[in-house]
Order: sequence, then C-alpha cells, then structure tokens
Amino acid sequence: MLLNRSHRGWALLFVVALTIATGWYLRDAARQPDGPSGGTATGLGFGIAGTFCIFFAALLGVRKKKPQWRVGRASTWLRGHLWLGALAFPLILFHADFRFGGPLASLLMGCFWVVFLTGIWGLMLQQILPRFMTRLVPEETVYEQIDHVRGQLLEEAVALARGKGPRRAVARAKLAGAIKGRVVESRAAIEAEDGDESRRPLIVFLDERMRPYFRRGGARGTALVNRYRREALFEELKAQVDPSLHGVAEDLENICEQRAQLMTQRALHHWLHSWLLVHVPLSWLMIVLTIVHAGMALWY
Amino acid sequence: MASTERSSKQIADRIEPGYYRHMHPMRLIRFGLSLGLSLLALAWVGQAYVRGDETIYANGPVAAAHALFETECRRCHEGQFQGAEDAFCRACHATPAHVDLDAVSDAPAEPACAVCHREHRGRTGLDAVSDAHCNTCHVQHRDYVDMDSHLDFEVQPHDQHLQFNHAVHLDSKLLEGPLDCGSCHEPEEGGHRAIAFADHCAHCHAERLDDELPDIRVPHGQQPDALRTWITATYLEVMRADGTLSRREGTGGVETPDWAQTLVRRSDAAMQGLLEPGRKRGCLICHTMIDGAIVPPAMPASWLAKARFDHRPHASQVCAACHEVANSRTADDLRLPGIANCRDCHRPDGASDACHTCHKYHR
Repeated sequence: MLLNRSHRGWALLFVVALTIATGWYLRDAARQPDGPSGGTATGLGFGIAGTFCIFFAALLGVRKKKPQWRVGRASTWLRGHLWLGALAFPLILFHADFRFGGPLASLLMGCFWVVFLTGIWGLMLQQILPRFMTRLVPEETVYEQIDHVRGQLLEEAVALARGKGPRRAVARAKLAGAIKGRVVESRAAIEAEDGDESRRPLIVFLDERMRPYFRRGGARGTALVNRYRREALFEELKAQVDPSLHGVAEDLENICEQRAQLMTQRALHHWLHSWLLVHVPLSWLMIVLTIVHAGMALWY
Repeated sequence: MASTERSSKQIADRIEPGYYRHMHPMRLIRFGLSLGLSLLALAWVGQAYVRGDETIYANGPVAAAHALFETECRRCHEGQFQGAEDAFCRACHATPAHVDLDAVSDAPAEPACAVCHREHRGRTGLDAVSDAHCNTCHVQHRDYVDMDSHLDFEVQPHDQHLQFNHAVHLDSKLLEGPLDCGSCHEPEEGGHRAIAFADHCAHCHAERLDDELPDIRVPHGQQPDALRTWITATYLEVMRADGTLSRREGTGGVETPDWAQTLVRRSDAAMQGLLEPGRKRGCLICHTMIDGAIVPPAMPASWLAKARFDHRPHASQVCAACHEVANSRTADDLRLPGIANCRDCHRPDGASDACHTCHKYHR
C-alpha cells in the first residue's frame, strides 16, 4: 500500500497518540526513581493499549480471509494495520521500559522487534517495487498463474512455429499430454504434422532455444535470458527463414519477451512478499506469547 | 519487435478459473511456519508447566539470594494483581522498620519492602537501592548528587563524661610499653568492640584498696555509696581475718569498742584515695563526679549521627590515615575525619558513593 494523502487521518492519530504516550511515559519515568515498570498502572495501561493495537493489526489477516464481512473496506483495515502496528511498537517499549525482561518477555520482545522491522521493510518495498512492476511487467498476470501462463505461451509459440492457430495448438497439445495447461511433450505430435521445410528453422529454434527457456526453473543459463542476445538470436532466425515468415519470428520474439516479463514478475513478487515469510509466522508466535504473557502477568 | 495482439478474452482465458482455491506454495510455507512456531511456543510453555518451572514468566532474574526458589512465583506472589507482600519477605527477614520515617517529609507510614527493594532486576543484591529511589522521599537531599556536594558528617553529641588522653597512651615512655590502636580498639563485625575497663584498662588502672592490701582490687563500676559499703565489708573481713576484730570473753560474742573506729578510719581513707579530685590515681582520673555520683561514660555505638561506618573494607589503611590522635589529649577530641577524607576513594569511578553505602535504612 502506498503511503499517500489518504493516510493523513491515520498519521495524525498516530502522531497524537504517540505524543500523549511519550509524555505520559516521561512523566511516569520522572516519578519512578528506578524507572517505570510494566506492573504499575501506567505500565499496564501501555501494555493493554499496545496489545489492542497488536490484535487489531493481526485481524487484517482475518479480514482478508472474509471479504464478504461488512466490517469496513480492506484498504481501511490495511491502513489501520500499518498505523496501529507502528503505534504498538513504542507502546510496548514503554510498557517494558525498554527492557527485555525474563525468558518469555525476551522472546516476545525479540519477536516484536523482528515483526516491526520486517513490517517497515515490507512497507518500504511496497513503496518502490510496484512502480517497477508497472514499468517492467506491462503484461502482469496473477502470480499464482505464472506457470500456467508460461505453458500457454509455449503452446502459442508451438502453434506459430508450425503455422497453426493457437486454439488448435492448445487442443492438440492437451491431447499430447498437457496437464493443467502445461505442455509436457507435444514435440512429437507437432513434428508428425510438420511437412513444410520452410518452417524448419522456426521449429529448430523452438526446440533448441525456446523450450529450454520456457522450462520451469530452467530459464537461467539459456541464451534467451539476455535481452540483447535474444534480439541477436532472433535476427539470426529471420535471416534463416523466408521473409514471409519474419512476422512469425517476431511473434515468437514477443512471446519470449512475455516470458521474460513473467520472470521479472516472479522476482519482484518474491521481493515484495518474501518478507511475509518472517513477518507473518513471527506475528502468530508473538500473539500466542502475548496471550501467555498477559495471562501470567495478570495472575501474578 | 512485432506485437502479438490478443483479445481481452484470450488474456482472461489464460487464468484458470478457481485458481485461488489452491494454496500457493509460499502461502503454504507461511502457514506451516506460523502453525509450527505457535505450537513450538505452546510446547515450550507446556513443558515449563509440567516441570513446575515458572521462571520463564518472570520479569527478569531475581536477586542472587532468592535464586534458590525463583522457579516458584508463589513463594513471593499471591493472588491476582498482587505484588510481593511484606509478609512473604518477613517470613525469612526479621528486619527492623525503616528508620526515622517521621523525619521524612512525605514518606508513607511504612513503605512496603518492594517499594525500595526492587526484584527481578538481575542477580544483584536487593540492598542496592538507587540514590534516586532514596531521594523520592528524602527530597531535602536531592541536591546531593555526589560526594562533592554532600554535606560534612554530623557527629553524635559527645559529652562523654570521660577524661582520656590518647597522646599519653601512645607514648613510648609508658611503664608497660607503648600501646597501639588495636590494644584498645579491637575490630569486630560491624565496627569495634566496645571498650571495657576489665579488658582494656584494668591491666594498668585497677585500683588497690590501699597500699597495705595490694592484692585486693576495688571493683569497677560502683557508685560511691555502693563502693563504701563494699570497702567497709571488705575491711571488716580483713580485720576479722587478722585478729583486729577480737571477741571479749563472757560477753556473748560482743566485739571490743575500738574496732569500729578503726574500720571507719580505714574506710574513709580508702574512699578519699579513690574519689579525691586532683590525684594521679583513683576513679576521677577518668570519671566525672556530679552531686556525689560518678557519671557513667556515654559512648555511642557510632559517632556518626546519620551514617554507619564499616571499618572492615578500610582495613588496608593504617588507623592514622584517618584518625590523627597522636596529639589528642582529651576524650572530646574525637579526631573523626571529615567527608573530604572519603572523597579520594568514594567517587563515581571508585568505591561506591551511593547513599546506602553509609546510610543504613534499617536499624
């Protein structure tokens, strides 16, 4: 989510709440010669407020799972997640008097630090990477469907190289053993029907250059990965085929370009979301430990 | 580069309907990690519960003295929203109340133990109360931020009713040989053993009843009336023993009349020898007599009115480094060092300069 003017209200709330909390903490610190403690009324207040913010931030996950619930827009929840999550951090530090405490509290505080820092990291990435995505991946697709689309692009390439329409090629590819839209092996079927020698360079290029490039996870190390080399190879291909097939060669190049975009999209997506592999599990761990910590702290 | 034109339907056809029903591997890993870590945390808490170890919940390590039972929160805490109550502390610590509470401006009636002795702050001693904590109530001392700003020592009123000359006792010309500080000031736990006549003075100052009876010593610590009674009884015994007090024949045991005069005369002489001012021996070379009574010497356990000084940590120093008594000729001349003498060592980067180093809050 981009931090823009739509965040003004939340930002104001954050600043006001942080100012009040800081003032309250400093006032309490001045009165407590050994420093404030989480067990005093003020310390407990910070703890309760911080826990509320943490739980609200955590509810974003539930809100995303249940979009049909009429509990406010997802974007509002996301803004709340950002700003209340950020507010929780100083509140909990005030609650703990900037100390780590015992084993449980230390683990909890360690988790909180990591969750907070990964959240900041994720927010920074969200400000930058989507712009790259728009510029570098104009034909962005659903991330989960990248492999599926990659298979379809290969099928289109096969059909183009053989001089058949894409739809027919897909149907034939599926007959030849494609599973869930991914071409497993259609080369035999294609070659069996191929009788036009003028298309031979296209088919050879397809088999030797494009198939490795379209193989899942195998694109790296192939010649087509490099943009400049890719352009040079297609120039060579055009020189080998009849001028009437130059349009087909350009279409194949375009398909390779889309494959490159899919690779870029995957890489950017990993940057955009890999931090969640740390942020989300540690958030869950933090919530479990917070419940235990709060329960035991209130008991004693 | 040529472009392969596709209709929006063709592009839409690329996406599998219902793709969202399948969890993506990254989401799956995320979910697995979330679940795994949460279960791991619960297992950790569970095993601590099974072992009866509540240390994990503690807000930091307890003091070293309490480490033995730090796994049991209930040893100090009882009930919800309850801190450690004094009753738990006093079960082991029979400690006197905080001293001089009346002198503190806004002190509570009696602060709870935990108000000053903060637990769960690490393996430190709980007696290490911070200066800032003391100044919460002792507001009048907030300006004493270090030894340089600390006022000089306040000494106990010291009308000791005792004459004592340090210079004479340290003189090498003494018949019995010169004394040193340790001859009288014997270190013991918490300070010095109280000076007692029998142990420290009697060797030279034990008074004989009279020169004719050198083996009979006058008991120390008697007031004149009791002393006269003892002297009379003693002379009576002596006179009986040496035959001065003979019995007259046929009178049923009535003594001769001149014995009483002898007894009174000898007793008066002894009393005069002991209590006559200006003599070089007798009670009054040390003691003061007011209205016919000897005033017992009054020496406080500590000369410092509001602080305690422990000689043990200072044992590496010679006594004269702080107490220059070689020229002291009266008991009133205490020769206590001033606070300037302490500042050389007690400073932020040296020996402790915290309030509790010298000021003991329990007495």
